[in-house]
Amino acid sequence: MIFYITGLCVYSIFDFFEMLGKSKIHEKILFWVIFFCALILGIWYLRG
Amino acid sequence: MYFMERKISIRQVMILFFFSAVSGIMRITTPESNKFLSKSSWISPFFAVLPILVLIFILDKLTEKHRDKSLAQITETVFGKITGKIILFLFLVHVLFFISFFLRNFGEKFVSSIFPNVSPLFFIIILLLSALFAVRRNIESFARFSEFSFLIICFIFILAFFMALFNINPKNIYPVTYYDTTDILKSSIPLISLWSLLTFSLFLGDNIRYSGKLETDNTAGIFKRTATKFMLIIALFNFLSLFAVIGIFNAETAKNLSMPYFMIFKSIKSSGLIQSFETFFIILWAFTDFIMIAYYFFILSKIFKNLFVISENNTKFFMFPVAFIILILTYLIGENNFEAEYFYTNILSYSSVILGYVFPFLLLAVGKIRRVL
Repeated sequence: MIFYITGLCVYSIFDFFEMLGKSKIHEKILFWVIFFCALILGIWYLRG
Repeated sequence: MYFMERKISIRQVMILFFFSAVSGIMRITTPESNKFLSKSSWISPFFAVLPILVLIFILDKLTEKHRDKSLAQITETVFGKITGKIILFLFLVHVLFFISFFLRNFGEKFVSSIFPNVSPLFFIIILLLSALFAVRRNIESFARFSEFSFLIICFIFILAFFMALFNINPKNIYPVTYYDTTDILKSSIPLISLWSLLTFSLFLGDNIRYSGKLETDNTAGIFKRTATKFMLIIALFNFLSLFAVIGIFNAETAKNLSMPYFMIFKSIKSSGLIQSFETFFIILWAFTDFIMIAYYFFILSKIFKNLFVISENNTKFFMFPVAFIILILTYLIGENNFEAEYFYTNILSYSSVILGYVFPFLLLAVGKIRRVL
């Protein structure tokens, strides 16, 4: 799980930079909202 | 002359749906099916297909005037922006939990059948990542891949049935009289619940080509014709699997087995040539599950795109965090397999019927009243 969380962070940052120039502002905000939802859920799950 | 547009045909959509319906056969369709299994259950697919044929007719009416739109766009047109978004959100939540449940089921069954010492999370992550990479590419190549696999899977499936046929005991299957009607109808409920997800295929509507491969093909009623044909194939495959399961074990034994269809192939030996058919079965199982999960991932991305007004090219970037949420949900739906199956039987199966079967009728009625369909 910890590997998947690291993967999520790294992969998502790459994805964000890829969509940076070609996306609208609400898409960028939504991306980070979903990213942090996923991250918080992951950490919450890890803490049991 | 072939059309050059990058869209998938109705046939390809139905093949994708075929995989999602056949994937369930490995578990006797859905977890709840065991509960309703009886001596006469093998006839139930032919009863279950009747309401689905009505659904196909309704879906055809829904898309008649909006061939280039997806179900999400039709919903927003009919119900308006706000109500449409709320309904789409419900669909999104349903698909999220649906994928989570089937991922969990995939992992758990792998562990309980062949790899008892491995964590189910390992299989879940592998399948999830494979589906994720499929969804980040275009649907055309994925549909072509499943079209190619369709014949291979059908061949393995029919071969498996013929190998199982020699072990069937007729006493386990006959007699079936009209007194069994109630049992047959009960057994068809899980099938209707799973098959009503055919409605979800229309979320790919803006990627579907409602015409033949050639310009000269008869395109009138192509959706109805193709969908009916594939639904009958799905019903036939379900019939064959139920016939083999009930015929080899009887209904009472099959009811208590967690994977009766798998158990058949675990025990089949074919005159030394193939030591065990189990290996083929596992390939078939993993493969159909992969296509099923990827297919629902594509549907999820379409709902996501319409719900949050994201451009087509950027939707794929959101799929990795969404896949992570799905991964967590696989464990939130239940602490153990029994809780997960309880969740499916009591919540997901009903929401499948409501969103997949009842909703299209409602959509058509409202659309006709508002004169937009």
